Amino acid sequence: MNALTPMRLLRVAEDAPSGADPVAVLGRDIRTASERIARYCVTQHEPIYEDLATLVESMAYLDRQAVRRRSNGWTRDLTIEVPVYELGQFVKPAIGQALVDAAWFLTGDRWRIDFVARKGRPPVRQGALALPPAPIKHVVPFSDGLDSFAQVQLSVREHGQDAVMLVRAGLGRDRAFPKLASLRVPRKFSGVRLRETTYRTRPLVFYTLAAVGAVVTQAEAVVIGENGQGAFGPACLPFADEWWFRSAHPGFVRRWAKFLGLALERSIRFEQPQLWKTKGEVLSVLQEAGLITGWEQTNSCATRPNDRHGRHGCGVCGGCLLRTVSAHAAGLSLPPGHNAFDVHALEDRVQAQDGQEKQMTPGERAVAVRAIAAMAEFARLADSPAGASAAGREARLVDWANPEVAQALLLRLLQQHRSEWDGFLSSLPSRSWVHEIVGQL
Amino acid sequence: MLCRMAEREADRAQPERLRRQAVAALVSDAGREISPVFLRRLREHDSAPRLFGAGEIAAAAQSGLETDIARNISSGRGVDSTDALRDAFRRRGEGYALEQKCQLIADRHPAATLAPQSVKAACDEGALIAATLILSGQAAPRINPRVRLNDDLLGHRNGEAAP
Repeated sequence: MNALTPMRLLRVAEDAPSGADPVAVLGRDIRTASERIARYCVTQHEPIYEDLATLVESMAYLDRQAVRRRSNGWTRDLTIEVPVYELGQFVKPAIGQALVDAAWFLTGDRWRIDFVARKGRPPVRQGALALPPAPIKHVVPFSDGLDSFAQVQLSVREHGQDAVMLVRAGLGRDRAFPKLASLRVPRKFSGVRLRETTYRTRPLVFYTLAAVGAVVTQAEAVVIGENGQGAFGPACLPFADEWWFRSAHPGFVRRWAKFLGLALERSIRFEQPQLWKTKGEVLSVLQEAGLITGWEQTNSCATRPNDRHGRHGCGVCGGCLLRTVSAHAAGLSLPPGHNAFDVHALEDRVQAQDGQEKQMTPGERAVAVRAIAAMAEFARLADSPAGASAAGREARLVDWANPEVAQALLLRLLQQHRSEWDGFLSSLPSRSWVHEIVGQL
Repeated sequence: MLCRMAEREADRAQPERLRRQAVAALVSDAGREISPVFLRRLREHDSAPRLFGAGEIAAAAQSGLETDIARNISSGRGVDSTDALRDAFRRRGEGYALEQKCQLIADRHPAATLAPQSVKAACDEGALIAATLILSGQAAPRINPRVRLNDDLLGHRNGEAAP
């Protein structure tokens, strides 16, 4: 690389040593509690689980901290030193290679991860309790979003509610599915301002905690509910010189499963049953099965709650727009006042909950235009040479040996997306603000 | 610079000027994102494709541009390095055009549709030239995007109508 963005080494440490290198202290700057998974499942907490949680949290911390200098290109040179209990495991070349390969595929950065021995007392190994293992079959990474809501509903229908476990990450409150086995692993970063907004490592933490949950419960699979538009859309249409967005891309999921399998020394099965469906199709399946109740409580909005004008969602970010289009395709409607901005309205104005009417800000308009463009351009791929080419490229990432099947599925997905997008556009008033934007694309 | 130029009607009326600027922009991107090691792999592949296969190129790819080039060569249709580079440059141009289009529409710019079309066309046309320059180790020709007094800004030189 001629000019990739170099970064200083980040050392992750158990306490705060003196030295010139930036240090992130476990328990102070990086806080997580992976032992909750084992405690919750009434089984032993293994040092390797703690190591995996430390590793992915450390990678996420560095990813948020190290600002990309876009004038030098997208790629950063990221070096990190992580203390682990199972050092002998992590220094195996195959594990290191699988880790760096998956991280590169996801983020577009050049990662170098040095492992050192962790000095503190490891989690106590105990004999497994003589309890029958929980009959868990599916562990679902649950984001409070519509896709994971749908996946939980469908998994429960298939296996029953005792066979599905939800794993959540973060500090939020749990509202959905109070009767299901549900585990929230708290996590928090502090110490420095985390300024990098691209944050491509987000799924590392989520998928890893779910995988640990699957191992301790002996579940059949980690089941990711992401729909096809979310998994492939941003990967087919990068903006400017951005790296492809691949948080639920099967090429990444396969790489991460390989790394986790090597580290945990057992096969970790990830399934993506909604990969070749649009979100609208998933919603239709839910509706036909009588499982739709509660969908409107889920959250698809990518903006901060303070920027939603007191509403459930902003209405114009990529997540909100896809939700609205998908609901339309499934014959559902959002409750009145659900979103701050109404994409069906003539004007891009918001009625705040205090009764004041406000014009969309330039920042909100920029978000809206990007979301609309992403939907429209993805629809255009359905019958263009660029679409056939994109489908071929992505299909080879899904299945190198036999890309034809994936390519056909992806082309069908594109056509279905276009049909839903066109249907949505035809439902809008001809002089609406959304039409005005679409007309310029 | 390319995007800025495309926003001006006078520059859009000079597609050759835009194309030259696109070549400069693409060569500049390649200078940032394509390492000497990767370039060497491409040349080796061209000289002896059976000896230096797509696997070596894929293994050497790190940046977005390198990865896209490697994917083109790995597609298994006998793509040579020039075609692979040209295709990656075209897609890079599409990415810039998409980004610009969104920004200009958000800003309610009057050329929100025309400017990105010009950027895309200039990158499409300049991609092969840029690819050839990169593979032969040449720099992009130095250009001065400033308007000169003797420039025909309305493109009347060949008798065509003003845009």
